[in-house]
Amino acid sequence: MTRSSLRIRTVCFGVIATLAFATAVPAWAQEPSSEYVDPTIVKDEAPEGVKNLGAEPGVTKKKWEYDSPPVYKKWWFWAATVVATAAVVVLAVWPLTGHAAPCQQSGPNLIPLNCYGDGR
Amino acid sequence: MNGLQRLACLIGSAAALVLSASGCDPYTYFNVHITIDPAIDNNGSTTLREVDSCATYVFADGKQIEKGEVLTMLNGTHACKTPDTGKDASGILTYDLGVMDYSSARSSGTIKFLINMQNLQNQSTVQGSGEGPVSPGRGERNPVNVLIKAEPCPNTCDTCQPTCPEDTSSYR
Repeated sequence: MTRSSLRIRTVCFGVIATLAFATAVPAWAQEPSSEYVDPTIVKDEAPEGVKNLGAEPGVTKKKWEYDSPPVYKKWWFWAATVVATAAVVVLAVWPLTGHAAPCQQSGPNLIPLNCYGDGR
Repeated sequence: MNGLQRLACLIGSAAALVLSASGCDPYTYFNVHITIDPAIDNNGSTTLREVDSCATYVFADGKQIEKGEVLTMLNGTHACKTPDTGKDASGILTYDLGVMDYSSARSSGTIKFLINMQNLQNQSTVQGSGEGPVSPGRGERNPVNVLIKAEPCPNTCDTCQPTCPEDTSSYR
């Protein structure tokens, strides 16, 4: 296995790990569960959290829309994206930029010889 | 969960990943212990009395990855130099050349070490080899033993150079 394939493996691991951590929600951060209501089902009454635009005069294109803006319009989404990208880059580059450990020849009645190789 | 909580969660996760990665050593280390077959002086040759230097070559999965390095001690003197070849600091013949430290950034495979002993005419006379598996992340030294055999280099590859790797098979 070459250095480049090790780098590719590290990048893949970093992407997968970052996505896993980004999508996982820790137990302490869970909101109280509420019964899910599919907002696409048309009912006489709009479900909770959804504004019935049809009830407002002058609005005809959409009947319902979400009260909150899409996730990509939130500041924390882009901040998290930057953090995740930086983490992946660091994980991919860091392991290959460090130097190897100092020379350490061991054995009985030791005569230390050459010390060389990658990272030295 | 509000936005601030999500951001804190992500930053914490990224920090944990970075910290865990920093503790992983991508290198594999080898301690190559090089000894000489004592029979080298009993086969009718004058190998040890003629030896001028030893050269070490490194192979990964059959391909040479390092140019030949002269085997030296920490003070820069040749580890193989008549009349002190194989002797300890007090001059006793131990047939022990010493231990070499080698690091590899490879992630898998096998590293092979080939040691050639050369005479005053720069002709390789005898050789030995040893190999060890690549196992990065442990930070420990993989021990590799190389015994320089007493048998002369085969006639089919009389210089014992690494360009004739097939001939090293008889020394494994």
